[in-house]
Amino acid sequence: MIRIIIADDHPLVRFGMTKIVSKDPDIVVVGEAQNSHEVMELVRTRRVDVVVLDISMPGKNGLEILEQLKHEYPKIPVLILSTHSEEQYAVMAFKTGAAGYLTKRSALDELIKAIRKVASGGRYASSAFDEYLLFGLEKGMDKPPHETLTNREFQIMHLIASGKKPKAIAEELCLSVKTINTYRGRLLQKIQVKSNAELTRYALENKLLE
Amino acid sequence: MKAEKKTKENLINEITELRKRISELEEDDREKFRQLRMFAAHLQSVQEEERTRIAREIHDELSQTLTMLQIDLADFVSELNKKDPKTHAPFIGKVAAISKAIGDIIEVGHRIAREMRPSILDDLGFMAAAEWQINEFRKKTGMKCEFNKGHIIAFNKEFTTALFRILQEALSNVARHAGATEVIVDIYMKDGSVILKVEDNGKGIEERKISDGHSLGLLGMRERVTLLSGELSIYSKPGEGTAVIAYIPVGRHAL
Ligand SMILES: Nc1ncnc2c1ncn2[C@@H]1O[C@H](COP(=O)(O)OP(=O)(O)OP(=O)(O)O)[C@@H](O)[C@H]1O
Ligand SMILES: [Mg+2]
Repeated sequence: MIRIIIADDHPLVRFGMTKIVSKDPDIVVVGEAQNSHEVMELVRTRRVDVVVLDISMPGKNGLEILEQLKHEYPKIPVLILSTHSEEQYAVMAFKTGAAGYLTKRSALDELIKAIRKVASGGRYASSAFDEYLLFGLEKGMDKPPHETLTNREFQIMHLIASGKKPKAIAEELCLSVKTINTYRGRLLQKIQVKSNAELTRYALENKLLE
Repeated sequence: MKAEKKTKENLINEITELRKRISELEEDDREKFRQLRMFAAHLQSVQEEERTRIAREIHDELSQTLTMLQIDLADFVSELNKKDPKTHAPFIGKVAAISKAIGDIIEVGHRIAREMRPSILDDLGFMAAAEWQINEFRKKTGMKCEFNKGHIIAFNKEFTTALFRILQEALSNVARHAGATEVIVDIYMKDGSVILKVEDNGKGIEERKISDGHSLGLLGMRERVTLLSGELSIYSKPGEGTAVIAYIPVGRHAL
């Protein structure tokens, strides 16, 4: 379950974005905001996993809100939603601490993907951008996906990749098989692979099994 | 004798009177000229405000509404798909085409807005806008363009606009007239002034054209620089390229 808030001064946009994410049963909109004050109020009072934030809002603009959010709630990933397709905006958003940058025009095809990616600790940029170029501008921040794993997730990835079955892993870690499978699901998503075989290949390629 | 003296005195008085009148007229002229210049500056800033407003209206309102219309259409298609995809197939193709046309309109809107006044100038400041403009220039002309960015401070809107419009005009002249293969843009600050230099390796400007009052582009650049108490120099030799250099003190325009 990914709990998001949508912040945009345009009611039509909030409506549209809500409609798009309603296609994904895992994503729930827990609140809507139309200015910086409402954004801060929502993150203060609700459990929020991702903030979807318009870059240009009246009063305090999106980048200023982003700065404040990152200052007060550094752990909540913020996905910037913008009408601007100029790369300079995206660069500025990432510099200010955004986890993702999506143009409104690509929201229809990419919003769900983007929310999932930033919710699992990754970074996302509209496919219209050259990610390499974008992220290359700030060296060191472009972490490989496995570095976003928690220690436990990393440990479990290691065991799965070395061929152990869930039951064996569960016994080894004194956890239930169900818990192991939950971890498995989450880390497959973070690393963006679909099967144990792909996971093993990823681990080998990134020299994680030594 | 007495009468002669009288006439002489009269004459001197008259000359003094005339001198005074002339200098009054000159003063008047200068004042009128100053007013005219202020008026031109005022018109320019009104125009810039108007452009900002229209560009924003097109970019934000129009394009967002159209984008949401596309989302609506996508929703509509998925409804059709749910119900009876076979009979609806031809409509779905049609709706997709409509949605694509809307996308093209949004693109046109963005282009118009950017040409009026790029929002990046107001949102991210002069340097980001300069970088964007230079990238556009590279894309459009295929010319090699080196950009040396120095460190600059933040300026108010008047100053930012002037610098940006000068850069635009200088680049557009290179694209349209120079026949150059390479351009170098330098922007930096020195002793409280901004220096903006656009240098090309093209055919150069003829001497008479540099000071010719009919060239509105060069005149406009000069006017903007003068209004900010700066200086514009143009160095050019036929066959050896052109360098346009604006040197403008920041003064009270710093933010
Ligand atoms: N970089 C350059 N290289 C060669 N010639 C130039 C250059 N810049 C200007 N010129 C010459 O100087 C003339 C005057 O330039 P100016 O910008 O004033 O007018 P314009 O570009 O012809 O028209 P506009 O009013 O649209 O700017 C140009 O017509 C061109 O012949
Ligand atoms: Mg010109």
